[in-house]
Amino acid sequence: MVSVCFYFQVHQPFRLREYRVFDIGRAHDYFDEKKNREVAQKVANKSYLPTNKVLLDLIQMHKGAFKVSFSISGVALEQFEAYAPEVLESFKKLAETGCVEFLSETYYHSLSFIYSRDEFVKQINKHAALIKKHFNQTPTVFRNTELIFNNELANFVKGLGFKGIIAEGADHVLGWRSPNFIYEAVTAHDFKVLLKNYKLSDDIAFRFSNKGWEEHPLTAEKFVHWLNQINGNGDLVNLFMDYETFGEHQWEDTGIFDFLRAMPGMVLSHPDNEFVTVSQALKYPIRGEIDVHSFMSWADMERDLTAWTGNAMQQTALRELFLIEKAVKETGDEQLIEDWRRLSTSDHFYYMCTKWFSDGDVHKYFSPYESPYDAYMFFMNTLNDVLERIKLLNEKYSNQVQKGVERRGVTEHLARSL
Amino acid sequence: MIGWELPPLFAGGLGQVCDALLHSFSKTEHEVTYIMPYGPADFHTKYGNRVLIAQHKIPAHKLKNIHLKTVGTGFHAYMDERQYDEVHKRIAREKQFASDGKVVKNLYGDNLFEEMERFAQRVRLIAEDEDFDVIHIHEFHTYPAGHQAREVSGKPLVMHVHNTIFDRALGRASEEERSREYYALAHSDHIVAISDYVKNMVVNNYGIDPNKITVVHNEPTLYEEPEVKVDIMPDEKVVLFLGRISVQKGPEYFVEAAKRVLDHHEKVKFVVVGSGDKLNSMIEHAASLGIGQNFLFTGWLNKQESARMFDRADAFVMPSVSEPFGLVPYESLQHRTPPIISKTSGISEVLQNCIKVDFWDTEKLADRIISLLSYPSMHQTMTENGYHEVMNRSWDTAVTKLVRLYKDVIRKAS
Repeated sequence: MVSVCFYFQVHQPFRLREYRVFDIGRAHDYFDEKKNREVAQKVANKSYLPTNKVLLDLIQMHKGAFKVSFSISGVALEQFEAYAPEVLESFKKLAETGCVEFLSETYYHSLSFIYSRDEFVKQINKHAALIKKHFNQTPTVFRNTELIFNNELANFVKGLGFKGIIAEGADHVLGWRSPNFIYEAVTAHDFKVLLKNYKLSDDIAFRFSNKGWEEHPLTAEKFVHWLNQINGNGDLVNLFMDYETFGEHQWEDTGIFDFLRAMPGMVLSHPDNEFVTVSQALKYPIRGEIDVHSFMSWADMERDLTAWTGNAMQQTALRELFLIEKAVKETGDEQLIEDWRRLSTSDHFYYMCTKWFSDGDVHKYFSPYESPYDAYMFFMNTLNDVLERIKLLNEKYSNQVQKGVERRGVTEHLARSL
Repeated sequence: MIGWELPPLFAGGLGQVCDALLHSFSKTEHEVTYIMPYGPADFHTKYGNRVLIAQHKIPAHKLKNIHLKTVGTGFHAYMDERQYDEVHKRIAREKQFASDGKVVKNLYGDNLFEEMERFAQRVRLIAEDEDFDVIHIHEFHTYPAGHQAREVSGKPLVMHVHNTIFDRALGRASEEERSREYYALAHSDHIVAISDYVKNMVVNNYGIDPNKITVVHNEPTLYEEPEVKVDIMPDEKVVLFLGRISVQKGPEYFVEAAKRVLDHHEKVKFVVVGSGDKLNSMIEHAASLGIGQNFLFTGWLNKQESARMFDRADAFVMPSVSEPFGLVPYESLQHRTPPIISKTSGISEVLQNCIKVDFWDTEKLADRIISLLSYPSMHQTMTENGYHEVMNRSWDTAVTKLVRLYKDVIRKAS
């Protein structure tokens, strides 16, 4: 018996505009509405709408035997509602089939677990409310931002009442063991961890159109043949990927949609195969234990946090953001708190990554900016304006902010603002 | 290879580029005969602060596989007709008073183009005795010489373009120069451009087939220099401008941006290293904006002194209007000084760890300067990454590309 578990990540950040030093204290519109609208509509037309259509057809064609799971961030859903309402509608249609499950995550697709547990929980709850509102589901399986995971997170999320969690099937964690079974973290017994089969997932997500790949072109037959080989050597195959794989990362002319249309029928033609959603996948027993001390993620070859925290700019930006959390919240100003939360979205820090930048390999990191330095400047300028607003809103707290910042020796703020 | 001066006999970047190429060629199995014009030993003049024809002896080149040949001539890199006329007059005058009293008539051509032809005939004689597979010339001035070498050998000719007269003279070039540059470009078997910027100039201004042009970017010349701590102006941030102060380098945009920075951030000094025909107007410009006291003009500094300036500076700005390449940002990053550079520069096509701006957008330029001065994490990340980026580049890459290109050209010619 092989169960195939498809999970797709759907996320779009609120990208910052070119917010300049001269804007600090003068303008409080931080987000690039034009750009965000353009991207949402472009990706909707190239990927979300056509892929949702294919999935709906497949579910109808296979009379409920084809199932998928999604994790859609709150900020993505907000943007669909504002910029591409037909996308939200098509997800609702999928939800109505009963063959589509939605996972829990942080509303802002943030790194909040690492910096503030309190904020982490608030963002999860906010997300759950939105999923309930749009899709009338209450998520039971958790997916942390970009599959960031460690022992502590497993234990914490278990404590929140979730039934399971998904994570990367990283080699440095599994060693010789297979990702095609359910595991538990050493810190969280009986809490099921679904691990991504990164080889088969990346065959679709990254290698599908790579003409230099020896298996190119990847046909549905070939892929299903590989899946069938797992029969007897594993319980389930977790195919986790960005939803934009379909139509955006792999363009339509690569044949990705034909692949998607053909694959489920071939999987189901073998009587031992089936599709499951993430919570259905939890029917399998735990077969082993994983011990993850340092954070792992599904990013890059390193499968760690360096895509978001690898350089001094990223570390400073994150530290400064969470340093003012208390002061922001104590103002009670909803707009300010909302702006601050949007700044917690992981993409802002990802855009500051310089890992591949020197090699000129800029395509590795999708970014709306010309350089990681632009990403950092716009973020820090924005954060300095947030500070200005805190000061205006509440003189008392601004004194604490000032002291807090100076005590930690943080010198990033403009001398003028403090 | 027919080139120009070599250090320490150099007038500008071209000599450094040729020198770096020769050093990298000497690491390959390929032999290079380098022919360069060489002025009268006792003659030198100054243009700006660039020594046009130095009086030093030619350096003893001990490079493997590199053979140096010199041809006595009165013309020099990037000389225009007017400059040649001046040199010619002075040579004639000085020769009249030479100690042996002998006036050497007709040693030099009466004008630049005659002199180029005379140089070409001398090169032809050398080419007759040499065995080679390809001819590589630098700029159109050496085209007649390259053409002669091609005539006697039947070998293909590659022309290396470092800039065009449209950059050098900003449209003030004579019809004769323009047509000679066009002729050279049109009749070379292949063209090497030092940047896409130069390639586009050649394609757009002369209608040359882009398929005939290969871009081989300039590389940094790496040198070992211990980092020095410089304590000048310890309480202030220092923003550096370094280069020829001419209209091409955009000095007025630097001043305008400085004004905007100072409106926001008082403790900043703007240091201008270099000289040129726009120096006075730059000084006046700063004074008229009331920021003269924040400006420091040093004139030209030698290599060591400018190294100290880079080490002290918190940011280096290159707001060039037109910059076919622009090697200085490499130097800046070698000294761990973050560069802010104009998008209209060849180097902006390859350099990643820097900030790129439109030279005319002085508000953005000021914004980026303030950001660099305000955010130490950015300064740190950019200089660490930039240092490694520059140190990982090498002229060997350029030579590898050239050798591949030679092989193509030779194959096509035979």
